[in-house]
Amino acid sequence: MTDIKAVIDTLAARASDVVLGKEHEIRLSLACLLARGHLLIEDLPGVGKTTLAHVLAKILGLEYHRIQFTSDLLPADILGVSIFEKERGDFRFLPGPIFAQLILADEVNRATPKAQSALLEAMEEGQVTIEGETRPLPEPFFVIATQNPTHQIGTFPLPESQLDRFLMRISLGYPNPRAERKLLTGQDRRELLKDLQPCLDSAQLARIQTAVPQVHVADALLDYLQALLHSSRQSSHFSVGLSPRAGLSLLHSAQAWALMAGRDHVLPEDVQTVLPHVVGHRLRGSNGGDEDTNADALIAKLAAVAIP
Amino acid sequence: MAKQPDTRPGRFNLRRFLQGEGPEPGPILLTQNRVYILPTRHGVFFGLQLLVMLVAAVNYNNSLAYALTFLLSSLCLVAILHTYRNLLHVQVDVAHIPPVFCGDNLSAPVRLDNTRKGTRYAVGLQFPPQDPSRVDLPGDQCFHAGMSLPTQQRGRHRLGRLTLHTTYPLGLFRAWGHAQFDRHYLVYPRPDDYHPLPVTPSYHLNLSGDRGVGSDDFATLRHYHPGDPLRHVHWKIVARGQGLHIKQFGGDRAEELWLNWDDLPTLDTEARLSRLTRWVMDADTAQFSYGLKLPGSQIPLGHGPAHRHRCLKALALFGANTPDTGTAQTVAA
Amino acid sequence: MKHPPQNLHQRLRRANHPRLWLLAGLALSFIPHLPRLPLLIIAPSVALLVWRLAHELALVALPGRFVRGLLTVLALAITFTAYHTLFGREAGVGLLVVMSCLKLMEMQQPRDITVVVGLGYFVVATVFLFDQSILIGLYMMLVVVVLTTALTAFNRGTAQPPRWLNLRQAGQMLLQAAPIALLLFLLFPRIPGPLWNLPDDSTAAGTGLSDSMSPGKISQLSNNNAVAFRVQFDTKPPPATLRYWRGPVFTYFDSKTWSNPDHQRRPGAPYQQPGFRAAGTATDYTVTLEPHQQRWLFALDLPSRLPLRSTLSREFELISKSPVYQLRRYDMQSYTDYQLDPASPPDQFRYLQLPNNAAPRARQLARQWRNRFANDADIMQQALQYFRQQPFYYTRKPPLMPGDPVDEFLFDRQRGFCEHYASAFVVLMRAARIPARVVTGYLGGETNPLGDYFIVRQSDAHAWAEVWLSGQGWVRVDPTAVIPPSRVEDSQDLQRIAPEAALTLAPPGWATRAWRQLGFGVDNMNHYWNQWIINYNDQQQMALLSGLFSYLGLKNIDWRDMVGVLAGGVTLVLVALALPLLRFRRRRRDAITAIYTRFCRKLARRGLSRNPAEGPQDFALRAILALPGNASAIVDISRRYQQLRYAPRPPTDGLRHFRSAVRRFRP
Repeated sequence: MTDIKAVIDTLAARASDVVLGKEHEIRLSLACLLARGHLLIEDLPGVGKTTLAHVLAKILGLEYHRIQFTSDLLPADILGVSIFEKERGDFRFLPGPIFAQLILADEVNRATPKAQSALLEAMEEGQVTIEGETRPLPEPFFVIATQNPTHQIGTFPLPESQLDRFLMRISLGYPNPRAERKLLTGQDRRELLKDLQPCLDSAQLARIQTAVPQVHVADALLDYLQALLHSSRQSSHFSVGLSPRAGLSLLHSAQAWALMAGRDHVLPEDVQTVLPHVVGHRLRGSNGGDEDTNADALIAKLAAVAIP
Repeated sequence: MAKQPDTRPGRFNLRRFLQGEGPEPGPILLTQNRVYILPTRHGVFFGLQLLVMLVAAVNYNNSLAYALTFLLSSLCLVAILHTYRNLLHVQVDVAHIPPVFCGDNLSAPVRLDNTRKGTRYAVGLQFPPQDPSRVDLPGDQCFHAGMSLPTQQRGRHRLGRLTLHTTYPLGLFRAWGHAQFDRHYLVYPRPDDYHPLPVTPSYHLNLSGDRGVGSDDFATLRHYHPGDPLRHVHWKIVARGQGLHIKQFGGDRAEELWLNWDDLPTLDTEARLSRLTRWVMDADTAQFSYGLKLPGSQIPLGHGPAHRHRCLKALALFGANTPDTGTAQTVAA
Repeated sequence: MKHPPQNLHQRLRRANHPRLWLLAGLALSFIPHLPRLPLLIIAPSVALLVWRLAHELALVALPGRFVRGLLTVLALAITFTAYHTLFGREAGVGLLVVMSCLKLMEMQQPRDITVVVGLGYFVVATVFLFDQSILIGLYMMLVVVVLTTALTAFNRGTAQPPRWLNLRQAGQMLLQAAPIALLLFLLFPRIPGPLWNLPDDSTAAGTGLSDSMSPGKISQLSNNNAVAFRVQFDTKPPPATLRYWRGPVFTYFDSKTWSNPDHQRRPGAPYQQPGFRAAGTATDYTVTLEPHQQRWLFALDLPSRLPLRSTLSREFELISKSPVYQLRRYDMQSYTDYQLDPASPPDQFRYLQLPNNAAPRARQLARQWRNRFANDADIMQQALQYFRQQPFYYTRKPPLMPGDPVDEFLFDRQRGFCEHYASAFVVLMRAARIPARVVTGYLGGETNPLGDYFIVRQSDAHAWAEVWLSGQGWVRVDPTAVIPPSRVEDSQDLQRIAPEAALTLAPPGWATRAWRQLGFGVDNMNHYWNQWIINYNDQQQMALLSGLFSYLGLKNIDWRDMVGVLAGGVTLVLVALALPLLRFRRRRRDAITAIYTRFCRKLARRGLSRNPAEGPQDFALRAILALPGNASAIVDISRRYQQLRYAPRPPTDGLRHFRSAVRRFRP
């Protein structure tokens, strides 16, 4: 456990050298990755979403592809196409950018729903089916999607069912003044990125990932978890309660968080830490619409649930 | 002395006895001061019968008749406890009530938590003028009952008073409790019969490709015609040597469909609302981007479930001065 | 048929359970009434019950409204035909039975079921008007359980309840009701006597001594083993030879039948009481008399106290003011050593009466004795001598004596039982101008060794004579007693008539003894049942309460105190029932949480209260910042708590360390 903690701490420190002042977000992203979930980053352009994804890929030693989502993006542009080869007389599959270990799906809400669902199905299944043929995706497979705030013009907000497929949603926000000053005066980020060396090979990553489900979850903690789910379903503040899948997501995230803290068991604090990021995009207030404004209030309601 | 009604909990109060508590947020736990009990008609009749048996026992000086009378009287006393207990400490709550169209039955998701280990049998649920329904609440579990309620008026309504009652086990006593939730539901106007949308959407290509707002996506490929924007050429196919093709997008059509109150001058208010409701539904189904113009308010163009709800809500509440109305009170002019 | 053919079992499973329970309960409640009901009532009731049962099994339809109306009229007509009235106890039961069966025909609505269950309870009550034995009491309790189950099952309403659940619910409620019922039974103020005059139900034949005696006829009592009354002696019981229980006395003879003109008079007519001189010590005892529908009360010869609501006749009979329809219990006192009316010579006309044509041969014999002896006592001895010396036999099966019963018995047959002897003896005395009368009652009684009381049975019925001798007054003479044991046919009679002689007989076998022992046990139970349940009345109620109050050092109680005690007791039981029933079960907290809560409370006293949604680590952090001095203790306790509550393998005896750490913690 402690060696895992040391590894994670090193990773977080390295990443923080490049993405300044965002250690908590980096750790959350790592937790999401360890729990084999996908990450949705929702923020304004230019705050470092892409950099974060890139840094993660680098330090974890993962193969990295970036897909820029636009309104004319076709599913085939993501998944790949089969083209006819005259010389050989048959079709040859040209894999799309999805075939990589870490995908950065940039501005995912700019694409049409059809293109979005191509990506999301791949995320869910861990494989893609093209022209009747199923092709497995590499292992690990981790998608970081970025999204502009939905009220921006010309966007297709992801439907709730799709949002549920992301384990966590985080937003980066503006850097704090100290980090910003360092950013302004310091080296070019892209230069730093180039110099970044992987700290982990994929075997080590797989080992850590398998350790996540083995983190102990006591009955008392399950009680708390159920109280949270129950509260979301029962309370009148939410039009739709948390799904069982949301419950599992919460559990896995908390396990990963506990593991990163070097513990062999989950504490209520772990759940509380990941809670806003796991449930934020899954809750819907009862007064309809405008989920952004009351998301924080809704999460605060959940966070006030007593620990049994 | 002040004539203030006594509203302290635990104190008997006639208004509360008859009507229950005022509207409150859920969940409501039916505690001692919320559950009332009185004999039923059978109970009164049975009491009279016991009296006759007592007189007979006295008259014949018959000990076993006395014993029987006393046993049955005691049974009545115990039945009071059991009937009362059957309702006591039920926790009741109503979740969010999804909006419905006027005339449809709405379904109020009532959640009953039997806080006890044992099953509670034959608990009646009723939104008073409706007929009661009888359910068993399994022990240590939550029971979800969808209570169906008819809707007659568009607008925002407060959910009526929920009455829980039971006569189990002997039917000689009836215990009841009221739960008045501070919960509102929205009734959309009834959609009119089919009328074509006011504007036939025109198809035209949208040059600002990735800014397209159309809800449909890539439709087909067609051969390049001179004048087509190069941005839409499918270069991958060109690269394979299969000629120039243009990606055509079906979504880029009629992006501005305005549903306007003023377009329907011949109809009365409710008929106009009804028609607009129908159009909102149809525009949503056709995945148009649409806006709504009402006297004094306007909803900008948009699409998707949230937008649809916003439009329908505006139609439902049209003419209402205050967003709140009493139970099943008329909203519209 | 709408449904595919089914067998009976399937039909039973599909049938409506509440109504099946109800039919069963109603049918069971009728059973004890069956021997009392005329066939005219039984047949249609059973038919209606079977009809309804068949309907429940989906075999037949129920009658329509018109047929039901017709059936109602028919039922009234049948009841009237059977009883010639619709009122009174017997007719009322008949009507109730028929009508509750009729109600089954229209039992569709919920309300009807409740009504029929009510009728069922009523039938149970009417059964008690006829029989209050233990067995009936227990059986009717079962019926009440079944009827209550029907009511419960009906009110539950769900189609397929868990098996026997309704029965359990009903049984549980009845058990909970039992202590309250007991309090009501003991303390509800009993109003003595009927509220109004009961309709005359004396047509019902009772067992016991009748108000006339015809020695020529076959006695019905001698083989009846039923209990007449039970006696509990407070003082030493008198010897067996003095256990004469005095009943009706007969003074008038019409050559066949003995009777007493006074018995036809209104009760309570005042007579001058005969003088009565007692010697020796008084015998105190309590009689529990089985109902016999007559007005006699029985007492040991000679009673010196009057029970409540009774009078004493001039022949020293105890006569109740109303017939004994219910079990009756009274305290008595008697002197077995007495002189009755020795001073004034009795009414010649009354005690020397003989019909002119009766017993010519007996008169002849008496006249001879009168001529031979001057002294009345000598004549009496001579008569007894006659019975002893002539070959008189004591038998339970005497031959019929169609002619003059006295002469035929005295001179031809010479076989008979006590009535023959008493009758003949009194006739002889009267013919010899000695005042005499026939006394009937019971002789002896059996000790129940298990309960220390005497059982007097109908088979102990006896008749003897009383003769007035100047200077001695009325003297009891039992002519049966002079028959030598060898001439007594039945050993049972021998035991009664001549106890000393019976001892010489062979002892009974073990089976007989065991059987008798069992009989004693059952009788003992019945005795206590009678004493404490059936005959529990206002006096016993008061006695019980005074006992209770004197235990508390209180005196002078009346019915208001009783109601007070009753109300207090019922409230107490109800509260005791309500507390567990109406308790709100909060989720139980385990030991770990309890100790941690104690820790939080200690911190709360320092102004650090834990937010319910605050995790242990966060709280510890906040506490350390606020109380740096206690940092190590807070960290230790929080770490232990986390270990115990959330870690996979909590350390052994971690709980103990945790507890002591919290105990030591002094913020």
